[in-house]
Amino acid sequence: MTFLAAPVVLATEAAGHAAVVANRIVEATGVIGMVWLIPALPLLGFLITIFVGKRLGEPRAAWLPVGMSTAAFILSVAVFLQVRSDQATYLAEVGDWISVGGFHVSFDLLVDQLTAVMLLVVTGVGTLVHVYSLGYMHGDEGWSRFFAYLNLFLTSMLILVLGSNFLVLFMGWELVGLSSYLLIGFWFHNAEYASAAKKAFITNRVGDVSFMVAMFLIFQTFGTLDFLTVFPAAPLLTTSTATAIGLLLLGGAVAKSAQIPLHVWLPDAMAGPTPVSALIHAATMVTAGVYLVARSSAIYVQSIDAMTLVAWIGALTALLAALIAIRQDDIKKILAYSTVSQLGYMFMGVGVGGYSEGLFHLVTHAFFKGLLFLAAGSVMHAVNNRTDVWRMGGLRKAMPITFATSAVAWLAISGVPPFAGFWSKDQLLTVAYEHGFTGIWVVGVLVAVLTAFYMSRWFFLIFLGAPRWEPDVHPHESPASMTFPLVVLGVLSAVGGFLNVPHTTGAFHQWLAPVVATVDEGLLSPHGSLTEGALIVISVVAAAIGIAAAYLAYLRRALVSADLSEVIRGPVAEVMERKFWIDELYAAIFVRAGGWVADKAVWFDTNVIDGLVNGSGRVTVASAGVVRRLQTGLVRGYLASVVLGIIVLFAVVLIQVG
Amino acid sequence: MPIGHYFAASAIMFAIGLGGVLVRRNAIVLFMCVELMLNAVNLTLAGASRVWGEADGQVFVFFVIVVAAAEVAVGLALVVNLFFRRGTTDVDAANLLKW
Amino acid sequence: MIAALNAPLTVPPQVAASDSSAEIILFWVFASVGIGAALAMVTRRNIVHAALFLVLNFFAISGLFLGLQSSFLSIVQIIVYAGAIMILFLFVIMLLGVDRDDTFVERDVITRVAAVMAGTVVAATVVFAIIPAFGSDASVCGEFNVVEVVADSDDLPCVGLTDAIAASDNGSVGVVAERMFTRYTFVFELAGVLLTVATIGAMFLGKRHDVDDQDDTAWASDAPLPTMAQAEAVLAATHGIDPEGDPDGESAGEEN
Repeated sequence: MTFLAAPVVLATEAAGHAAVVANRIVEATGVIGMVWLIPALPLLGFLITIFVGKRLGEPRAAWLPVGMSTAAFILSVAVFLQVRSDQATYLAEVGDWISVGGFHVSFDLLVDQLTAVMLLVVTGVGTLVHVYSLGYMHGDEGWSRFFAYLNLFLTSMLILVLGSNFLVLFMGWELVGLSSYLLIGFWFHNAEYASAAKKAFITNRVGDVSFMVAMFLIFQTFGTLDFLTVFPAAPLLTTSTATAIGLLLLGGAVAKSAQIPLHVWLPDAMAGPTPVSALIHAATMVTAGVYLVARSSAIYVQSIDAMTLVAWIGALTALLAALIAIRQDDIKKILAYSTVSQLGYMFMGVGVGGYSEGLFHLVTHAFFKGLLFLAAGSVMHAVNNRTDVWRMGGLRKAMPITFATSAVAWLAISGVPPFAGFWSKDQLLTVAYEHGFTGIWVVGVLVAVLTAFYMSRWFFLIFLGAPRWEPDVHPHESPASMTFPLVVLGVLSAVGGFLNVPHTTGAFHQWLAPVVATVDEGLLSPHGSLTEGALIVISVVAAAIGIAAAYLAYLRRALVSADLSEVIRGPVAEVMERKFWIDELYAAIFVRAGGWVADKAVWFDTNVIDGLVNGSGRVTVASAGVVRRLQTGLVRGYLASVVLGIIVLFAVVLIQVG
Repeated sequence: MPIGHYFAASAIMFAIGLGGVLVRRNAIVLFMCVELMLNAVNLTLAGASRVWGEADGQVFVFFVIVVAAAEVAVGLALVVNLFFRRGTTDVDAANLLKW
Repeated sequence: MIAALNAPLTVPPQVAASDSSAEIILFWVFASVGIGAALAMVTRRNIVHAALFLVLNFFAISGLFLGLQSSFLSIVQIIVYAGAIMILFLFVIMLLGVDRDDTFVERDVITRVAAVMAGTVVAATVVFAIIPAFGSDASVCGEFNVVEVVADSDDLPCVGLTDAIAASDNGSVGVVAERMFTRYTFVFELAGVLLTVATIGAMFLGKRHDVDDQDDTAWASDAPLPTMAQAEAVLAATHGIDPEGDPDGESAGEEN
């Protein structure tokens, strides 16, 4: 199998057919020259807090982490401004990392337009979550540990987005997995939570194997892992190699971004504290998979098959997760499945070749999903940490700020104009349609209906209607440290969509154009005849249908009676509620098989290996038991042995001489 | 007299001493057989001295005699000790180092 | 010396072989006496008899030394071996009171046969391996007995000590002394040390332990060491020595 259609030529300018409008590659100067500080500061915060935080106690232990996060955000803004003033790809060399034989990897940081976007999202939402945690984690005995882990996560995610080669990205990839494990299992005394953390980590590892094989293949093909060498040379790939690399990278992304079939860890990850869910499992870590695909766009556009698969996996995941979300009763679980579904949207976007559309949805999703999770945390605090939506209701009077911001987020995610989610989701579906992926588009519209439905259900059951909470609950608004981030994200969810208002000429699209690839028109199927306006109308109608259905099912009855119950019942609902029994399937196959292998390994270790070791001991003892009988204690016996030796010596000498 | 005859006589006496060492159980007699062996070797050395025409062999014999004297002194002291501890001069009685 | 031996054999001047008869008779007599005494010693059940036969063996060996032109050694053999070492043996036999029949003889026939065989093997090895090199007339020593050497025989010649003795001022003793005090001086000194050590060792080992070394525990007791006055009193009482008196002890009058 030939990997390359032509020999690789190191090119900073695109040769022949350019898949990417290439940026100039520039040495990092100015603020970007210190871009290594952005991941280094939170790392320092982590190291200090993890060692001395316990002694500092609440609240002093949190000041350094919050400060570091804020500093990282400020630096990210500075970096963004510099990139905006002089658009190019900046390479900041930090040092050599691995240099073995023909394999050289250096620890370099790369800053371009895509990086700047990711930096802002990660540090921005990260800082807001840090502030929110000041209020949310109040009174928790793991206060310092929590903030330390948050900083660790920030470092990891920043390394991931700043990496200039696949290996540094992978390093960040693994580190976010670790941080996620530590934070999901934050209250590790609870065995269930610890299990959830393990599940997340192990599922991620499965994807990591795929990622590693992808790196092997990339190295085999290009001889290096550097983005700046691999991506310009991507047009030289044969289609089969591009497909292989694309699929293998997809394998890693599927695990990290909770797509089918490795989505099972995300709902269980709700065991972690709510700020963690907001930051890691909504806004940043789970988007790493989307980032990876977008970053590798140059490779993906070489293989329409890989792109199609990405899109369909996203579509199926979106559909499945939406169906499950309809029948969940836990405030965070609904949001978790919603996240999985929206991630499916993002994969749909990048799969059909709409890289900037997919990334735009990533950004708006960070706003409104982050907001939704933080609001959920606020609500949970108000109702004594209960999570059953059927025990809430009518909270809008008790928590006006939370209510208002949640309303904005709800409208945004449902795709109601002019909020952010409408713009991103609509543009995403439009690009799917225009690139000829009509099936994807249909699924996307269907999922939009379902999204609007279950999110409206979420909103109505929690905030509207008559109160259904328990007698010991006295709901109140959360402190300013918690409501401030809500307001900020609310504003962003409201107006953030205007970052990219005209679809292909919006600021966001133009911003990312130099760094993402464009699909060769010849590879795409012809698309239908609907105009863009028609598509917008269809999206709005879809949202309206969903909201109306939820109103009919829940709100109308909730407004009149406190005695509310689930409408969707029956065998189909059962399937949705049981998450399509996927977890059970995995347990039956993998967990049992793994247990069997582990049993055999234990047997081998106890009997064979220990047997060898003990056996050698026993053999020694037994042989010693035989040999010791030479010690008769009789002098004449020893003399006899000496004589025997003499005779043998004589014989030897004589034979040699004679 | 071919010098080999002396060597033959010495070898025979050595062999007799060797057999005695293996057969006798009395510590003192054992010792005397060892002395016999030493003397046979002395004889060989003196013969060798004559073969080479140098006196080195005789010096060697002299020192063997010195060492034998010292060895007998200490050895017999040990035998006496053994007798007082074990009540017998049977060599086989000194078998505490048995396995 | 080695070069001389490795040089092609030359025909030495012919000398009559008549002087050899004395040495031949000497050898055969003393050799047979020695071997006979050795056999007797090994097989006696009476230990004193065995010791005496060993003495006879030593005398025989002394005679053989004479035949080997080592007159100094022959005398030393008698004085040291027969005169001192065997006396020591006899003292010990007397001390232990085991002069009677020795019942400690290996009764196991197989062991006896094996022992005899071992001895035979060793003797045969030496005899048949070394003797052929030295057994023919070519190995007759020095000016005493020189016969015509067959040029292509592989017997080794024997130089003999006659020249050395003649060259030395003090005869055969001088030959040994000259070697011992020049080349082997250090070994000589070491031998002296060895004898000293052996003496001390023998003294210590031969001590009689009646009460399991309880005399050593006096050091560990709390009793104070005796004063000078007490020591003098003991001296006066036990030896009749007056410490104030004449050092030669002539003023000691009282006897115990």
